[in-house]
Amino acid sequence: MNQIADVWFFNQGWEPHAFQKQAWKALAREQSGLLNAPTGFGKTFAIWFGILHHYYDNKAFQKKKDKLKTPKLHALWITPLRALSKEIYKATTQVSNDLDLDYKVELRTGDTSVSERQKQRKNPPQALITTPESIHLLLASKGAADYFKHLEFIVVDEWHELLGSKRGVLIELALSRLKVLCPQLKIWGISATIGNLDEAQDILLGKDHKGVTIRANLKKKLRIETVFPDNLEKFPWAGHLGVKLLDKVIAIVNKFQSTLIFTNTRSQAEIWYQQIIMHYPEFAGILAIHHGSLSDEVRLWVEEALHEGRLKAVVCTSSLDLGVDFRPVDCVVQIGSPKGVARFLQRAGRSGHRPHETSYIYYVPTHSLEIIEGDSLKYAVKEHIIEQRIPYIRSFDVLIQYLMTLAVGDGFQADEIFGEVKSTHCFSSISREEFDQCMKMLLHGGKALTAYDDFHRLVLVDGVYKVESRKLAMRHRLSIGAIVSDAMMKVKFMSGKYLGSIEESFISKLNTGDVFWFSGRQLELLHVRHMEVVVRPTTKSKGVVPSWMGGRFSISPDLGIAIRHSFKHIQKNAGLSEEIKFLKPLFQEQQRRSALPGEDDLLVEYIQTRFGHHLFVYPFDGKLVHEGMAQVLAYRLGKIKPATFSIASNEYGFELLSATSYDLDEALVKDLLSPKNLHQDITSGINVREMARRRFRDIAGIAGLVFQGYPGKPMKTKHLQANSGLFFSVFEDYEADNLLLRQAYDEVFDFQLEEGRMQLAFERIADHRILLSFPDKLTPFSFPIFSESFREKYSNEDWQSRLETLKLQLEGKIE
Amino acid sequence: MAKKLSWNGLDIFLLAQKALYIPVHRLLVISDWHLGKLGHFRKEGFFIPQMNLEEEFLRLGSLLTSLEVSKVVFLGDLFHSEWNYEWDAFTDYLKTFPQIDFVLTRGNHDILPAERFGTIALHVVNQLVLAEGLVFSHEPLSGLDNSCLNIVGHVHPGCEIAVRGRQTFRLPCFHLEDRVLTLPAFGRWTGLYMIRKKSNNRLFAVVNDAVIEVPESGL
Repeated sequence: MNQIADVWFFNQGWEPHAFQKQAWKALAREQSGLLNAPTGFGKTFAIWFGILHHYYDNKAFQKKKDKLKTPKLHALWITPLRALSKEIYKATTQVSNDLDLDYKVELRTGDTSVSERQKQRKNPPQALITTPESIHLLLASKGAADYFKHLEFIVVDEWHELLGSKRGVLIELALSRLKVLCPQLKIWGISATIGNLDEAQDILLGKDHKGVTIRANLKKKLRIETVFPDNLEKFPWAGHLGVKLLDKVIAIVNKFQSTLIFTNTRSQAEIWYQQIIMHYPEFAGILAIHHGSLSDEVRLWVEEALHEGRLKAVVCTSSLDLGVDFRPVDCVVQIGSPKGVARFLQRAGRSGHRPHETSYIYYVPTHSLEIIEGDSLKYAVKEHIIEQRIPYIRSFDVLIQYLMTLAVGDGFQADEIFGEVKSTHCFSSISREEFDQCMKMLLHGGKALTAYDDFHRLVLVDGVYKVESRKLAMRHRLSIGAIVSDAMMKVKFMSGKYLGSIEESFISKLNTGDVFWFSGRQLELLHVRHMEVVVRPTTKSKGVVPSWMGGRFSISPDLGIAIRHSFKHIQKNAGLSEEIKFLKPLFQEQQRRSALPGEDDLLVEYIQTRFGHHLFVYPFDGKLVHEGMAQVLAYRLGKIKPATFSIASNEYGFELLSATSYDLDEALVKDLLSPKNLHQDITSGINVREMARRRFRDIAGIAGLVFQGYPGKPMKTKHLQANSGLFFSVFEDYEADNLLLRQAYDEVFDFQLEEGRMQLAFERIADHRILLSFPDKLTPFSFPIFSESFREKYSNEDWQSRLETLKLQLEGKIE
Repeated sequence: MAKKLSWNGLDIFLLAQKALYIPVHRLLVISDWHLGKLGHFRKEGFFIPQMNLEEEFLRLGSLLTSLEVSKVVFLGDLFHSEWNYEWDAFTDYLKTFPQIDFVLTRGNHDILPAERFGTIALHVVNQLVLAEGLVFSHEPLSGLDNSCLNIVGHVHPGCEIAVRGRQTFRLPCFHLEDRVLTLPAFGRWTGLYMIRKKSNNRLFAVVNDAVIEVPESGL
């Protein structure tokens, strides 16, 4: 019944999967839907042949098509990644070529040239493969309504990935418009498995949709192995063990054809690359590095080389999490906690793509205690524990950008757009008043225009809001999108060869002649000019590794559940997993020095050292929640007796250090950890304002309050340089009820403090027995947190040697 | 609480209002006010609130009424950019002090054409020199005599002070180094350029209503 698919699959010698046939059937019935399938099983073809079938075999559409003189845009395929767009483009173009179809597919991403884009505007292909931002750019051009009028399909690939970000809001808004412009539109989402798949579908297809859900119930074999060190360190600290396991990682790499080594941060990737090359020089040429700050050229080269099987291993970050299949890859190594079950599974799935192949993933803990996560991950995978993607709601910054986008394009009528916007999940709770406040910002630059003020942005012409200033329109087109990046500096060789970009804040700490590691090379800084850093390769003394902002995320609630489950077993003696068995001596040491928490215990340790009084609490709720809890506790303790605290935390617990001592007993600790008045104590105890100020940076960028400058050029717009922190203060002083300001606070409570999660944690703890102990010295549990607090005080080397000395003292080897 | 410095026997007061005052000359010095900044952004379509001008003028006004002042030197960057209505409001305000002589040592932001200055009692100069060897300019001047103290603005100096409990504060400050005294920006909506405390410089941080010298080892 899908002849095109039948012919093509026959020619390939393939048998379609059941889910593919199901999808073709649904598409032939002109239904919308969501396809839940892993990568590497032909999910693209499951949708694509349905689209082709419609174009060539749908009877009603044939009549429409005959009336049109030139081909019109028939399908839009949206992906979150340029690399993925290219992959889809290749696959779909191949089908048209193989079958000699006149169905034209074109790419439209940030890389597409201006002339190419103009051509696509005048003579659209049948299908465009594009990004959420590009759709908005099309909406921001004159004649957008005509351009999209004949659109039949819109496919959102990797919808789970977009859903939890403001790019998801861009999709929701674009769909709300396109649904009205083209009533015939069929919407399809493709998503990996997430905890809230049904919600994901509702958000994409809209309230009361009649779409179908198609699941590719394909079982894929997965093998998870934890890599153990030879000896167990009883006083573990972060970042230390990983590189010690280098030899073991190389032994694994050598067993397989091609391995992806995932790290959590870009700096970690640089360090691992450097260490491998240093200790195993024979890897030069067959080992590569891939992360988000490297130039497109470097990344494309790595991706090509991976495809062709020319690389033995690639050290990478989340930049290779998504999409594209690298067939030769048959093994994945995860360095450090993956922080989430879904991320772990996604990465595991990068190896052994083909059906019936086994995916291998090796978990390399970076400190002793992290070994337990091997047990937790296996448990989570077995029990199908998987994270939800929490969609953004009430993102007024994106709404303001969208209104500008429409005004720059064909213009809009406020009533009509309000209705459409309100139909989205993100803005379902928006009131007309709030919408009007957004409008006022664009119309009057705030509440109202005063006599002398010459603010201008939107104008009303015949009931339609428009942007008349070409300069403003141009500036807006350059600012479309929901990803705000830091001021980045380009790293280049003297020859002009571009290596990638590094945050300005890192470069500003370096002087001429300093050496740093980047792009897997040792580089010497020659000079900095405008936003460019000129470097040359060097063999000079060892350098520093740049640290990038971001990428420091906390474990997910779901992995938290799995970790707490693992810790339930630490007191048992039989039936233990290899991870817990291995860690037994550490737990015994913990028991000897302090206490080991049982299933419903919360361990609290109060230790005095020469640094002061340390209060350690171990809720196992993730760093983010711990940071908030610690501040609430500090606030509550401060009410008893004023004191200054130094706070440190990791994924397992947190520490409050102060010079002031408290008379702690179980009842007091119970009170300190009570869920009563929590919201109030969060509000008064935590510097929410500072957090909101940081959040406001992205919000201001997205809403168009700050302009990042023209691409590749330093800010030329005279006297318009200002940071969002300044604007934050201006709003606070002059317009405290501003929607964007409120949004910043809401985002702090929802995403940063994760107030909901914190509330749950306090409630859970309320049921726990408090196990309060007063050890003489630091314990295996407390040591890693204790050493975290050092990290911020000392430089890397100093820090390490100091810790070594301290460790010897702790183990009683020196006084 | 102001901080007193002395130069060739002349008393100079660093005020917590982010201004400098020399009683003998009844001279008040203000730097980098950047008036009109928010208006400039608004004119370009950035929807930030308007500045509360009255509040701004009052900050100068209260100094002028509480101190004996016969001359005010603006050390440049008085107005942020091209003309907007905030300039006219400012010049109207200056007219309420006919007894005071206003001088501007022109800065890089002061790009208003001469005719905008014509109507008011604001003398625009490149620099201003006092007999005691004080030289006022927007940016530091090179080749000054060793006996001179160059009083400048331009960079908006600030300093970071770390206290126990791993808390840090970023504060505006006066910065003295190599016979150049840099004033903090008077403007409310200006950023800070962070200066590190070294052995050869002196930093005077503005802490609420006091000006406190930053000790070598931090506070």
